[in-house]
This record gives sequence, structure tokens and C-alpha cells, in this order.
Amino acid sequence: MKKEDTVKLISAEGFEFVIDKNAAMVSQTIRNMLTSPGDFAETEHQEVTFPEISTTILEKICQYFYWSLQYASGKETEFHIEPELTLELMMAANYLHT
Amino acid sequence: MMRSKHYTIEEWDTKPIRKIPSLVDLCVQKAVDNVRYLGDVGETDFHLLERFLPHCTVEQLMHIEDSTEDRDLSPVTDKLWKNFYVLQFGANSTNVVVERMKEKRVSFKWRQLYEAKVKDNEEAQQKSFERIKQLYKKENANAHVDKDIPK
Repeated sequence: MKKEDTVKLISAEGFEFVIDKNAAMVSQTIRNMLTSPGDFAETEHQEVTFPEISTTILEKICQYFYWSLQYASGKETEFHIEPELTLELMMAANYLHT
Repeated sequence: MMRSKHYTIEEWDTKPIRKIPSLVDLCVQKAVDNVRYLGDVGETDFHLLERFLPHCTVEQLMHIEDSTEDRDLSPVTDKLWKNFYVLQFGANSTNVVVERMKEKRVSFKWRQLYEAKVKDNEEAQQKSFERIKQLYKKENANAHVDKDIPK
């Protein structure tokens, strides 16, 4: 995986997730952050910090990105959501337009 | 009889590609399925609450509202309570309440109205029990009196 094909997503606790850029682009919000014109730190370093999203939730979101790419390619599996994460994940997903 | 649909090649081609479920949709579905386990909904946006709270029973909605202490959820739940009121006490009774509030130029939340009505009904029921009890007592007393009167 080439470095320019990846992005870094950083959780509230500072945990870093390095994932495929095309996976992260599943989120409209992240897409906008990474591609917006101008000298934004996000665009330049290809990394985004989410001070409001915990590590557990951000990990789940990264899993969803990959699941969604798989789904699009025809592998229609079920995406598992732990009941206790439901509401927090819902809010984060809403924020990320995902 | 089991029926299965056979697609021709042409039909397969025109069959719409299944839309990828969004994570929000998946979470909403999960919340609907697990509504009985929900308590404090925290900061969940109203437009999201709108999507799963309507699946609650009276007890579940009451529990969620009571558990979510820091927030007033009535912008979403008021109309749900009105639905419960209609279901439980009928449309006529609901209209009477609406008219009465209009007349007196006051407004109450439907949860309050619902709970007040439940209490009213319980009290009315208690009263009629008491009345029946009294009647029985009287009957019994009379019966005793009858017996005690020497022939």
C-alpha cells in the first residue's frame, strides 16, 4: 500500500487508523475534508482528527468503510453492530454522512 | 405451493443494483430491534430519535425519557404520547381534551395528560369498588338483622 493511497484517521484518544483512501472516501464528510481546495492541514497531510469520536467507535467506522466496499463489489454480508455501541455509532455515522 | 421466480438474462440486466445500506440506517435498524434495552439516549439528535422512538411501547418510552434526565425529549415524544392517548382512551376522549385546553387557553404535554387520565381511571375504579363493597356490607348487615329478628 503506497503512502499516498492511505489516509490517517485519529480518534479522540489519539489512536491512529491508517486506511485506504478509497475506503475513507465512503464518508462524504471525510471526502470533503480531504479534497477541499486550499491549504488545510487535512488536505496536505491526508489525516483527519476526530476529537469527538472515541477509538472504539472510529474502529467500527473503519470496519464499515471496508464492509461497504465489499458490499458494493457484490459480497453482501451482514454488518454486525454491538447493541451497546448503537447510539454512539449512529451519531458518529450521522456526522460523517455515512 | 412454492413459487420461484426465474429471471431471464435481460431481466437480470435490468434488475436494480441493491443500494449499499448507510451506517446510519444500519444503526437505526439496530436501535429499533433493541428498543427494549434502550435507556439514556444521551445527545442523540432529534431527527435520529424520530426514527426509532416511534417503535416504543408506553413503558419503554417512559423508561427512556426518565433515564435521559438531562434532556427534554418532548419535541419528539409529545406526538407519540398523543398516539398512546388516542389508542388507550379513544379519539373522542382525545378531542374533548384538545377542546378543553383550547377553551381554557392552556396546554399540557401529552405524557402528563396520559398519566393524569390513567390516574383518574384508577381512582374511578377504586371508587366503584368501594361502593360495591359498601353495598355488600349493607346487604350482609341486613341479612344478619333478618336472622336476628325472632319469628
